[in-house]
This record gives sequence, structure tokens and C-alpha cells, in this order.
Amino acid sequence: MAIFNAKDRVIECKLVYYGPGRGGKTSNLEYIYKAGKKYAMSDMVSINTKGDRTLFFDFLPIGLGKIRGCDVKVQLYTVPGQQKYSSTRKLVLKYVDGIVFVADSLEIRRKANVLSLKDLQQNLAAQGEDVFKIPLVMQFNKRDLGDKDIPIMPVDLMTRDLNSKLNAPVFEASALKGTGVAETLKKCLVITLQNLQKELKWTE
Amino acid sequence: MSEVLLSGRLRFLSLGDLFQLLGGNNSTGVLNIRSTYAPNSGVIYFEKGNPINASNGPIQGMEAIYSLFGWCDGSFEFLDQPIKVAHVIKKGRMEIILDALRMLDDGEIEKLGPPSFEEPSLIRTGMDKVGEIEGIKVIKGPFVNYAHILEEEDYADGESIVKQGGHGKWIWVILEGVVNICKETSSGLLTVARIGEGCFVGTITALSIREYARSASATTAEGHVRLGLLDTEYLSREYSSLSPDFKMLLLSLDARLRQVTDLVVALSIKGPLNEKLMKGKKVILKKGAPEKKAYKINAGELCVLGESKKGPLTLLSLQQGDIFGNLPFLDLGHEPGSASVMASEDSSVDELNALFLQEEYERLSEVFRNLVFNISTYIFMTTRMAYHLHEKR
Repeated sequence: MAIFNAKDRVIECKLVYYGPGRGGKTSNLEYIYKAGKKYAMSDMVSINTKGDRTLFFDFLPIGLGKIRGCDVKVQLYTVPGQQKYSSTRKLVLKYVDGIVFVADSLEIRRKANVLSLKDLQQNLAAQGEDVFKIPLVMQFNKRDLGDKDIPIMPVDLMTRDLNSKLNAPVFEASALKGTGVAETLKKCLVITLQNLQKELKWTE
Repeated sequence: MSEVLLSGRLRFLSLGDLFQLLGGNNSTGVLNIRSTYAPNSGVIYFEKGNPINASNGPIQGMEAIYSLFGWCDGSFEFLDQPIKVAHVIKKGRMEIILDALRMLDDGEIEKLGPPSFEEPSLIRTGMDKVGEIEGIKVIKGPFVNYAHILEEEDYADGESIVKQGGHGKWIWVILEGVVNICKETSSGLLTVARIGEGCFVGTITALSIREYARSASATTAEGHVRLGLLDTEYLSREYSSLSPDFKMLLLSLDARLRQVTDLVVALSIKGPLNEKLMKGKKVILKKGAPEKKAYKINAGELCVLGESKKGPLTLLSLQQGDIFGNLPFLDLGHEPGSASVMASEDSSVDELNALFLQEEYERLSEVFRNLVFNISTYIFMTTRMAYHLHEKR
């Protein structure tokens, strides 16, 4: 549920990048932060959680326009994958508005993807959210590694594994290079805001 | 006096949530935090939504903020107050939150909260020195609301506030200082509890019409103490408006506290324990069972069986009119989570509507609810002390 700051007329919505460790969540955020630095409203916070860094920053995307006279501010987070970081996970997932699931295309990470998605479903359920209802975009990351003869999974196999029930919009990406990063974020923002308007019974 | 703008319990709104709330609101003021499990209160200063300084006892600044993230249970108040302290914290609030939570999960911040009986902190707080005042941890209560205080009274160090066996219906709330609750025993005066700010002297039984003697304990001031005399008439009116079941619950809680206190005395003077209580009884509610219901006793004799590391320990007996079972709004450290209930063959019990009791609890005035919360904390801490003495016996 987005936060309305009536005083400053700002709607804050929260997008969380979820996925298996070292799958490219932080690369996504780092790319967005660098590319959109002029829109960023805060420095990027980087916490050295073991296995994976936890990142946070908020920014004011242009081109989204105003909703009911309010600016839309977006908070972006990554979640630490390791089980023991439950306090961080709980805080990050609280009132989450939209999710980008970053799946790793490497063959050896097939199981890790599935486990992480299950983990997401459970953690959302603990916050009273449903993985099938929350705005979610799927990103198949590290596609470029296929060109270097590193075994990666075909897209239809990953779709079957991860997206056969969810039917979320899918983007192929190479987050290190920035390919597909903006498209993923944009789609997630659009469906998140659509969902907010629907939830609040707003009609344009 | 500065105005309270926001108050509540950390169990419901954690420090991380509070930071975000005050941050999003660009609030300026002082956040006070108090936990029953900490010897002092914590203070965080906010300017335009960002924390700029903090203290937790002797710890200051950033380190104090991190340590306060370990307070998972407690009450907070945000006060509208001009800030005069130095601006020593430069980190942004989101970084502080995420860093603190990582440290909490990595075990770098000590967690304070409802203790379990097994917790080693028992030793650290020095419970093993029962009888020696320095050894017993001070119990603290929620913040004091001055609305129902008739008069303030000051006591000097060592001065007696209430005498054991004396009569009187007054209830005080501690505004400043520490009060010792003592029992006269065959081997001298024994301190069974030390209570501080926000705790009450006197019990709810004093509000019922029954003739009442201060059976419980003598209390004396430790250092300078300031008490607030509560408007007993107001509290009595509220008491008489309660449902019969809720009144029964309150009296039953008082009886529990009296019995566990007597148990602590018996254990510390190495007196006889009432081990016969278990005889001829069968377990009707097993420790840790997923019991959801609460019951009142119509007939028979029941007992509550706890367990220290040394083995089972009979905590208290229950009779007609007493209440037991799952009361989720009270944490006594007894059944169903941490103790079993045994009953004689001829016992009969009725199920209570626990939801009604809970609703009634939530409807209580703040000061009354604090009184009830206070008794349950005393019971919890006294039971904990009994276990510890039992282990040493």
C-alpha cells in the first residue's frame, strides 16, 4: 500500500527487487541509480549483508506525471536473500507495491530461482499479500552470457519453471550492461500505478 | 510541558517503522522509548524527519540508536519539543534502519524483549543474588498518564511506603525512583521485587469491596522516590463497571501473584514447598499445547505446574472462581505456553469467552490497562525468580 504524504502532496510507492543471490538485483539498481542520477532524491544506501548487498534509494521519475495532483516518488529496494536477514526482509516487504523478480539464466541456478520464488510467495503471505495478486514483473537476467558459451537456460524453460502460473510480463536482460533494465522498471511502475488506481477506485 | 504527539507499543510499530513514519512526516521532536527489560529509557532526537542524536543510558549518538533497535518490546512516545542537542548523526535514516536491521539479524545488536525462562540473561541481570538489593532487576511500567493523579508524594531513601499487614486502599504509580517490595520472613526482610517508573504500588484487589489487608508486601523507597496517588474512586467506578468474568480474572491474577511471591519466599529461605498440590491430579492442559480457550473453575482443585531447568515446580493452586487457559493479552509466563495445568477428579470448569475478555481489556482506560499489564509483568518476573531459586536449591 503506497504512502500518501498529504503535506507535501507526494505518493510514495515501493518497488522491491527480489530473486536468488548474485542473480543481478543489485546490478539492476546500480544501473538505474547511475543512469537516472539526476532524478534520484537520495544517495544510494548500500548495506553489506552477507551473500548479497542490500540497496536502497528513492527517486522521482519524470514522465510519470502526477496522480490527482500528487508527485509520485518511487522507493527502490533489494532484499537480502539469506534466510537469517528476516528483520530486513520484513521491513523491506512491508507495504510493498510492486515486485521485480530477477531470475538468473545460468543453468546451475535453475533450482535457486525456483526456491527464491517460493520464498517470495511465503514472505509475501506473511505480510498478508498474495504473489498472484501483487503487481509483478519477471526479468530473466544474464542473457548475454549465452554469447560467451556459458550454459544458460532457454527462455521457454525458465517460463515453464517460474512463470507458467504467474503469467507476469517477462523481460530479458543483461543488467551489468544495462540491457532490459529500464524496460523492466518501466513496466513494473506502470502496472503498479494501474493497480494502485484500481485499488483506490480512482478513474482518470 | 511538551505535548505527546504519538505514542504506542514497539511490538506493534517497530523502531524501523517509526523512523519511516517520522521521516516521511518531516517531524521534529523527541522520541522516548521505554522497555520493561531495560534499566533506563532511550531517547532519540529528530530534526525534520532525521535522527540527529540519541542516548541509551551511558551510550550516546549512533551507537545508542543501534542499540535501541534491539528493543523489540516496549512503549514509545514522540514529543513535540524544541531540539537543543548537538547534531552528531550524519547518516540518513534509511541507511540507519537497514544497517541496524542487518546488525540485529547478524547478532551484533543485543535483543531486548519478552525473555524466555531459559535465557542466560537471568544470570547477567544478577537474579542469583536474591535478597541483596543490587542483584534484582528493576521492573518498569508504561509511560505515566497524569490525568488520574490526585497528588504527588515524596519519600526519602529507606522510608516505608506501605507496611505488610497494614490496611489501606490507596494505589500509587511511581513517577520517579525505585521502590523495593519486601516480605517479612523468618530470616529477615527479603526483597522480592524492585519496581521503577510507571509501576504501581497497591493492587486491583484494593478496588473490590472486600475487606483488604496488605497481605502482599512491605514497600520502601530506594533513594529518593516520588509517587503519584491515583484517584481510587475513579478506578473503583471503572472496576465496578466490569463484567463479572473480568472481575474474576483480575482477582484471580492477584491471587496468582500472591502465591508465586510466597513461593519465592519459601524457596529463598529454603522452607517447605507445597509438593502435595500435584497429588491425585491429572494433567488437563499440557505445557505448549495449542490451547486457544480460557476457563473458569466451578469446583475442584487445580494447580499450575511450571518447569525450571531443575525439573517441575508447582507454582500455585487454583480454586473455584479462578481463571486459567489462554489469555493472549496477558503474558504471565504460565499456561498454556510455559506451564501445565493439573486438576483433581472432581473438578469442573466452564469455558469463558476469551474474545469478550480481550475486548474488555482493550476497552479499559489507559491507567487501568496499565495496572493489569503491571500485574502480569510482576507475575512473569516473580515466576522467573522462583525458577532461578529452584535451580539453585
